[in-house]
Amino acid sequence: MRTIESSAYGTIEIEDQQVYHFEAGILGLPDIREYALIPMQDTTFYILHSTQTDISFVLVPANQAVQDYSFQLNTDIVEMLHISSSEDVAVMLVVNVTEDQLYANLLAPVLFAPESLVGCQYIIKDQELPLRHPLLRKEGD
Amino acid sequence: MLVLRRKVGEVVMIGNDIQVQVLGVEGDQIKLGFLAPKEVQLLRKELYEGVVAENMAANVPVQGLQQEQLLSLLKKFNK
Repeated sequence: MRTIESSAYGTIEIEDQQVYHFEAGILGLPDIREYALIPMQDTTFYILHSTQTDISFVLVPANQAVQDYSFQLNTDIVEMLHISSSEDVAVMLVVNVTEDQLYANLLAPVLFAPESLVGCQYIIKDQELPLRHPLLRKEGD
Repeated sequence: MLVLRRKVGEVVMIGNDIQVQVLGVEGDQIKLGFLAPKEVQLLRKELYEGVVAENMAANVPVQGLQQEQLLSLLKKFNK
């Protein structure tokens, strides 16, 4: 059991099985290699919080955000995650929160392998996917 | 920026673990081959920059919003 002091979320208690190692970090933040994955109470969302800094992201499980979302993983990533099947990996999307909309990043999902506690952000290169996929229906839809 | 001239087939080492080889030239396009360790992601720069920018925008999760506003926005999302 550890605690994280977060300026956004306060004191968070985490178990060891919630802590993932990101060898390459999240794109743009290569020096942050350890994050805790924390469910956000009463929502389908999660917080991905750095264990050593104040950096955090809001994530949503891909299957809660979109349908028919699938992609191939190259063998390098499969090896890095130490997985043997697609069941061994959880796919989440980074959520960009604005004043009135939530956008999910479909182009660069974040992958989690709970068995090995390895995570990575994977950019899907062979499909045209949006960086910003709106999650909330607009008023009047 | 380091500038090197390479002929088709020649290779550049980046550090000990990354290799770039010129595979061919077709008009104004150059075909490059890359060998790198599995945790190194190789990306066209525009793609990389787009993702980094979006990550940076997303990592200020509260962006002027209060915690309650953030939570109520997230709770609005029902599948």
